[in-house]
Amino acid sequence: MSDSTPYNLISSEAHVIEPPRVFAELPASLRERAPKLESVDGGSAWVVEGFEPIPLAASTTTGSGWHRAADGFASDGCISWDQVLPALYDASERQRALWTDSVDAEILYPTPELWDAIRMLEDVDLKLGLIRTYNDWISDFSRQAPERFFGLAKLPTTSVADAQAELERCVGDLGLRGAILDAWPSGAPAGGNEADDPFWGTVNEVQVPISFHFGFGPKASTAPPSGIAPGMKPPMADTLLPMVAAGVFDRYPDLKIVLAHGDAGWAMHWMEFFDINYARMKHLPEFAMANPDTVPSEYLRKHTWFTFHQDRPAVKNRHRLGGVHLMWASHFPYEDSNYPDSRQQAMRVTDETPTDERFALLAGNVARLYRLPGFEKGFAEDEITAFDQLVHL
Amino acid sequence: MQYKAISADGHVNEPPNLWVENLPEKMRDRGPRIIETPKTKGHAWIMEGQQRPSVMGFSSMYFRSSKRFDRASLVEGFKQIKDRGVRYEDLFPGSYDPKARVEEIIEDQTDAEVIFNGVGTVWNGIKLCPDKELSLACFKVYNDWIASFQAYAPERFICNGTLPTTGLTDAIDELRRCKALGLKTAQLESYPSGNFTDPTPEDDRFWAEAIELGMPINIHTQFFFPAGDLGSKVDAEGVSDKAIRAKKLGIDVQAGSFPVILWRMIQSGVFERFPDLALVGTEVQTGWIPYYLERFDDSVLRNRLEWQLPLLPSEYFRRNVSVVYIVDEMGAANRYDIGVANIMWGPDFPHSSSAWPVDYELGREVLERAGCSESEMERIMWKNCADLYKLPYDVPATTAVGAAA
Repeated sequence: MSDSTPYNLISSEAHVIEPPRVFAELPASLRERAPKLESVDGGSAWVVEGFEPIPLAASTTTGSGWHRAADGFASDGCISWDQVLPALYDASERQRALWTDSVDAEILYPTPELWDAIRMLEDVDLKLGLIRTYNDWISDFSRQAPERFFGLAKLPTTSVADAQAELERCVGDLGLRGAILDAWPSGAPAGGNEADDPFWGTVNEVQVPISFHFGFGPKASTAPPSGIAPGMKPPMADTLLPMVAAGVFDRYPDLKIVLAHGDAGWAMHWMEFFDINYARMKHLPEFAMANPDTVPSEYLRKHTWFTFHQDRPAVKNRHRLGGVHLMWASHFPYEDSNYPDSRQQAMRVTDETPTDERFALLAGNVARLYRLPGFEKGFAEDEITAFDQLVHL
Repeated sequence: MQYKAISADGHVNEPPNLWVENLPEKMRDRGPRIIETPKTKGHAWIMEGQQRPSVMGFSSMYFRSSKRFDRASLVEGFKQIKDRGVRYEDLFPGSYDPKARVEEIIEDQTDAEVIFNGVGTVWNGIKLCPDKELSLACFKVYNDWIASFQAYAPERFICNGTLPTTGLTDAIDELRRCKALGLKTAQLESYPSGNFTDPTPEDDRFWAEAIELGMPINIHTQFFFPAGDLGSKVDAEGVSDKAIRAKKLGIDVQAGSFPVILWRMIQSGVFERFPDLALVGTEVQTGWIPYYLERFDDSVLRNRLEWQLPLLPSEYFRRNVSVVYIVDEMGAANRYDIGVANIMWGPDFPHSSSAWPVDYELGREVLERAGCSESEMERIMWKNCADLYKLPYDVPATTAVGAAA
């Protein structure tokens, strides 16, 4: 821990909204086919060829859903671009917003719904062009406050080679400290496919965390018709077990995966139960693991980092995940964000935690994971692997 | 003398000839019966309208363990399923013979047991049956039998009637009949209307009747969709073909999971309209509940104009709902965020996830490790269950384990 750190509170997961001009940088041949922010039903929506228009989220006008509750959802209507908080696309405005919110730095993600659609495009050149343009833009954005803004690269899933090349470009030339993966670069339907190994090899070499956000998967995410019950495991968590079983983490021991925007209060129970199932059924071929002398959760606890927002059960049970694996997130500017009172929420959700551990949850862990200024050393190996196992074999 | 332990979750395996002998004569050759599978020579259930037989397997066998995760016994058990199938004569006789069952639970240091049907197996066919008259008749035959099972040792067995999925009136009528047969509770296999995915306002008549009769209502794990034709193999990439087939059939399997059922019952105000309703989620485990309630309450508080109910979700949960676990260290450690009065121990005997005959010791071990006081252990291992089913704390001396052994 550095004594000179300027950091008290870092959001491990916040979003920007792509300004329409981002895609103006595309080569002329692609610009015509790029997503466009257009006027739809009196508001603004991203229009991506072949998809329903994607309206701007209502919470982009306030930075949270909390403050709109007084009007109810009925008054949401459609949001037009001029109503969007400038802090969501303008770096100097964003700095002011952080001061207001008492947040010292942010790990930045793009708009999930827009990129869910982009991922489904069949035009490979267009997809690659959009991703590169975004990465250039978010890198410029981050440079305007290099101790506060840490944009993550968006990785193409058009091929393993494309994903490797863009990761190297983003980490090398653009100086980004982490990347977001949407689906398996090889096109495989599930994790752990050997075709993706070269990609993991590159990740292992460049040593940056890879984020899986809500919506991860080869297809656009669809909620079941019954909706998603509160407190359920986020769907992207299901990608991890096949990776464990296939030995990806054995072959590439330095991988660090971030489950973004998914909290962690569900994770301890989940790990306990698949460890139990594994202990019972490891004799069956479909439960085989490359390394049979362990349980699956040991891999997940070592290689996975979780962002959390209003999740007291995760804070309280942090030693069962591994205390360094949990990182507070503001979720700015979405429904459950508390902007501009993020600090109040962050302090409330950690208020039963001793000072040093509280600092780790609110700033230290994320700073070390991404090796932010003053935290270049990262984690020691024994810190990453320390946790209280729930299953007693 | 007080109880030592009451298991809130155990199962029977229905006798092979139950329906062949007891269905009305005109239905007998169409009802559930046992066949031998061609390859493994194990037993499987089949009845009219069912395309894939339901083989006896994990849920219908048992092997004796000397400790949890008893490797040798488990390997042997799994090999048995794979190589030669499971036959009725392999099962512990207490699966269908109440006299043998008393001896089995006493060996497990358990005084009494809440008993459920055999879950998958024969029930796939009964719920899948397109002929509702035949389906209903099957439920009735089972309920008559389980009532007679309970009557062998009413101080030890709290047996669940199984409620038909053929429609609201059938469910209500059968609940009344179960009460008259002496049963203290019944398990729902769908929402009372027979719908597997959605609660409906007409369900209210059923909830009202449950309160009138003073019967807690159980949901065991989930509403098992008529799953007989869904299979359950897992492919090399970890995707179950059950999930794939369910998707093809347009079935939303998740809608029948207990967290979703609970979410929709709380949200639709069932517990607000019926403050005395007692709902039990059995074999649903407990470690997920603190985060579930945290998120549920938080979503309600943030969007409070949309939430018209006077209480928070967690308040309905603590007032109306009990949950039963097999082994759950996360839940035990977080018991105050669940509610010590809402948690019941139930080792799932004689299914393969039970650790019989060391369930009681394992149950104590988990609670001790979590730092439970003796009075908390008492609550979780029998008193909550005794309160729910209105059992006397002081039982006849002959009922206690020490006396019977």
